[in-house]
Amino acid sequence: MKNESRRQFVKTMAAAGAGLLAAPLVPVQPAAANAIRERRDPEVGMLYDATKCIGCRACEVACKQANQKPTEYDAAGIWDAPKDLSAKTLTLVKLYKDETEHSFVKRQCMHCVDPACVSGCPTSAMIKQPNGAVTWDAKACVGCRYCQMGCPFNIPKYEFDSAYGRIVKCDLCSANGLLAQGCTACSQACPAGAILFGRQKGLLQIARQRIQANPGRYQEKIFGEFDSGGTGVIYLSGVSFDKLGFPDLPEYSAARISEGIQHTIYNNMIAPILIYFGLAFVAFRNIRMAHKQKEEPK
Amino acid sequence: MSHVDAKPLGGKIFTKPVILLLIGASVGIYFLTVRYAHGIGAVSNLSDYMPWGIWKVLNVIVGAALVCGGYACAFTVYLFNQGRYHRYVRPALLLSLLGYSFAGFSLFYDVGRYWGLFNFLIPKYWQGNSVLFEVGLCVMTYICVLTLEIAPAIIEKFLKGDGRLAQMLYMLYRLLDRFLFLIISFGILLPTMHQSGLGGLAVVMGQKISPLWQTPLISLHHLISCIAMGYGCVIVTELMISKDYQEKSHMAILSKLAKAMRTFMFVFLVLRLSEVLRTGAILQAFAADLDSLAFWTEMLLIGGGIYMARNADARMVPKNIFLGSCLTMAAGSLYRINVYIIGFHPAPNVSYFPSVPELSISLGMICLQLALFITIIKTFPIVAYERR
Amino acid sequence: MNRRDFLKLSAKAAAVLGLSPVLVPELCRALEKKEKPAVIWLHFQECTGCTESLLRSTEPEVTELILDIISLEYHETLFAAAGHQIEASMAQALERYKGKYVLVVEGAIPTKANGQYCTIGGHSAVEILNKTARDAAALIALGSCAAWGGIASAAPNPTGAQGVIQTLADLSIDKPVINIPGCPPNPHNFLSTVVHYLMYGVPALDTENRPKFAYGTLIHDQCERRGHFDSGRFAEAFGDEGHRKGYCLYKLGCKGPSTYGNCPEQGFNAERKWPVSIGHPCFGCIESKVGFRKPMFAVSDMVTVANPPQQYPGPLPADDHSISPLATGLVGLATGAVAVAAVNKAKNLKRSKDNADEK
Repeated sequence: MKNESRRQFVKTMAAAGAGLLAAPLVPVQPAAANAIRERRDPEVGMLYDATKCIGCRACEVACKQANQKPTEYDAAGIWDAPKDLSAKTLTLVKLYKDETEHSFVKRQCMHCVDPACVSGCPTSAMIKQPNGAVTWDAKACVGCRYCQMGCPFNIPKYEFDSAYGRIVKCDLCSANGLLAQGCTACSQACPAGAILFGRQKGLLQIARQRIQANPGRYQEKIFGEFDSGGTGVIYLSGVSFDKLGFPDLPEYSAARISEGIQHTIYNNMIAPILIYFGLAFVAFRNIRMAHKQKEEPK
Repeated sequence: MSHVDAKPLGGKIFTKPVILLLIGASVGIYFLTVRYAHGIGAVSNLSDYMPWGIWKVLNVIVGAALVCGGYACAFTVYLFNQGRYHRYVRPALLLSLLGYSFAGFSLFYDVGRYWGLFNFLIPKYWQGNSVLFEVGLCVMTYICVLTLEIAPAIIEKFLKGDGRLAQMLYMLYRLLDRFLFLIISFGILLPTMHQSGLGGLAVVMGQKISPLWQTPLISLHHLISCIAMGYGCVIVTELMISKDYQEKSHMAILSKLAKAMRTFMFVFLVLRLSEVLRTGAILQAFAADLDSLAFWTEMLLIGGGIYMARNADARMVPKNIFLGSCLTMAAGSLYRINVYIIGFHPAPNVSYFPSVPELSISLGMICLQLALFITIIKTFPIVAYERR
Repeated sequence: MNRRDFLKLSAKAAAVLGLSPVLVPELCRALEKKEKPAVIWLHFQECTGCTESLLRSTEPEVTELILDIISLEYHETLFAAAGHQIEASMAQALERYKGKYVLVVEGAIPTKANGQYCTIGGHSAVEILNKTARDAAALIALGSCAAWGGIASAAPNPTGAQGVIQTLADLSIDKPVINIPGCPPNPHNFLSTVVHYLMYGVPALDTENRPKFAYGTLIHDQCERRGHFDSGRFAEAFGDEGHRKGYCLYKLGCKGPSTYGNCPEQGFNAERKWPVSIGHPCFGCIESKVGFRKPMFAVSDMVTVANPPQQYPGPLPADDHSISPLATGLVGLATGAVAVAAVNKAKNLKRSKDNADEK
């Protein structure tokens, strides 16, 4: 009977363990995300209208000046010509061009509503501020670069050429003081009015109005309205967004899935604690039984 | 549990293999100093699009999975009361301790701001939503647990004699023995958490990982495969450090371990393929690109490992279970490399291949681990022996 | 020269030199005060185009230059005198202004056959330069011929024509030389050099002794058709649509990208035109390795701009990773070694002693 009850106990524990591990099979409802991370009213962001952009790159210059970033030279060492965002270049105007159409696109941190970088950072170095900006804290960061792996837009850059590298990305001018004054360097510098800074909800309204008022000019979609759970910087464009280098993303952030699984398994550490006591119980009894067996033949 | 009779293997420490390993280790250490002096970019091909390379994936993730022998043994012996496997526990635990310690150390040179790693211990910085946070804390705790688990073996060496030190050590030895069940339980709970967590790291990367590997079940896949790799590790270690397998009775025990390995690998295969078929990702396996090549190689290695341990007769042949274990460990390693490097596509046109200094550091650390393992089993009572 | 014209001269000189208008009053005062420097002007293997170019300057006119700013002591084109009279004038000037005169040289100096290809009054150009350069305060080599040999030195250079600096080196005479190349050079470059010399001494020179204020930038970098070059709009043939629309003449052989000068900014004559502005590609008359060396319609080399970068990066990352064969080899070696070791070890595993079944 002892054997029977022991076997039974072990079976129960195994079943419980398997059940908990199989919890992810239950699809995580994206709707649950809305309760946790959604656009909040005071949060600010930007609206970039690619059809208004003339590619003058005044925004790049203003950004470099405001954040005191160095020039990034091309191979000949003459031109200030960054090829991509980097530890020295926080925003960049890229060009999509083919036979029939072209469009500029300004890239920088999207300041997601539900950032993967914030979710993944183990030491709270990436923070979603109450004003909507996603900022980086040098003291907390360990340089694990999980944020780089998680970001769906590949935005955070790391100073690989430094022995004490930092993670670098647009912080919506939080560090240089402009955000506190109610603007960003790029939006201020743009001569064509392609970059608007303001409350996210207000910007969404403006974007929707523009699409309605100019039927042939824009793509129906506002990029960043729902993509990856929504972004603080939203985009209007005349050409389709995949041509501008934007990935095709679901309407929820991968952070939701990851956190959903984590919370289900580790909810207040109930499951691990229970399992631990179960394990301890079984181990204790097995060890005692083994001691008895060792003594018996003697 | 019967206390296993173990004794140091003895013999010369600086044999030719050990010297070669130490040479490899010193090359790695040289490049490590370059890394600390000049930054990660000076020695590696890591980039902003591909920031995780062989240091993170091979030394930390694969390294931690390969040494799951301690974990596998712990629950086989203490949970399922299979005292027969007790003799394998110590070498497996030692390998686990070394493997996890080096996995932890690898983080010290892989992360860019290593002085900040102590933030993991400061509650102000804790970020409970992060899988990496949970893995980090879990691994740190587990290394302590492993140290406690292997402590009896270390202490045993110094138990002889009547001095005050020997007496104190004996008391410590008895204490550890009494609360072994508490320690062992941690030794089972913690790896379950962090090995699945090492897979869970991938979830937040979303579409950047190819659907041939990405799935919400990826934590489960990592856990099951690591248990199989753990059994494989125990088998390979045993076959390499002792000749006792030549006894049929011992071979029978190893055969059982191989059966467990085969079963877990089979479950892993079924879970993997069912996910790949369910999502329709199987079509990408026929795309004739690097991803599909990596996928089918992984499948072949899994299949090979299962095949080698296919039935009781096959499992009685030492060669078969040795190769089967090697194939299983290779399969699990390739799986993790596929998830985080080969199948990781952040943007078109980006690729990563380690540089020579980067490889030297990676391989150098592995050489150092092996050299230490060999040295410790020669000087401490880790390997069991049969009283004749 | 009336005051108004004098002011205009000063302003124009200041502009060419790149001086701020604020300095014009100072320039005026300096020009007023200074003693007019003596200038001896030599003509050698030349077409007189440089002098003709000077004669066509309008702001100021050359009369103002030679009557009011400098004391022209010897000039074969402009002097009424000839023969023994003008020779005597030269000898007098050399004596009177010894060590103080500026020697302007126009035209190349032939060196073959003892310099017999250019003789004036029975003396070869080399001899004349030898005599006059020794006591000069400074030399100005006006025009490409004097600067580096010009058209006279074009292949096969049968006369051994060469420029002033090289000839002085051959004669072991060490004097400061300012080159003002061009065929012809812009007269205002010469004028402003003289003014600068009066006020501040020799202007900043580049490695070919040319004043940087005039020859410091590539013609390509200041060209009014640069926008067409950058946007890829070229004239492909004379008279085609692109040519008529005023597109870039790079494909027709314009040597702007390899020639330093200020032709686009200053222009020539009152209309301030230059070759490209009227639809003919620049042929690099200024540059010693380009003008009369490279074929007129051969496409120019790019001097500092190897290839202007694409102005904008594309939306997707560029593929610039290369795998080191050594690294690949190392990985292959490591994997292979482990595999071989595993197989070897497996083979050496003896079967169980009491396992009778052979499989």
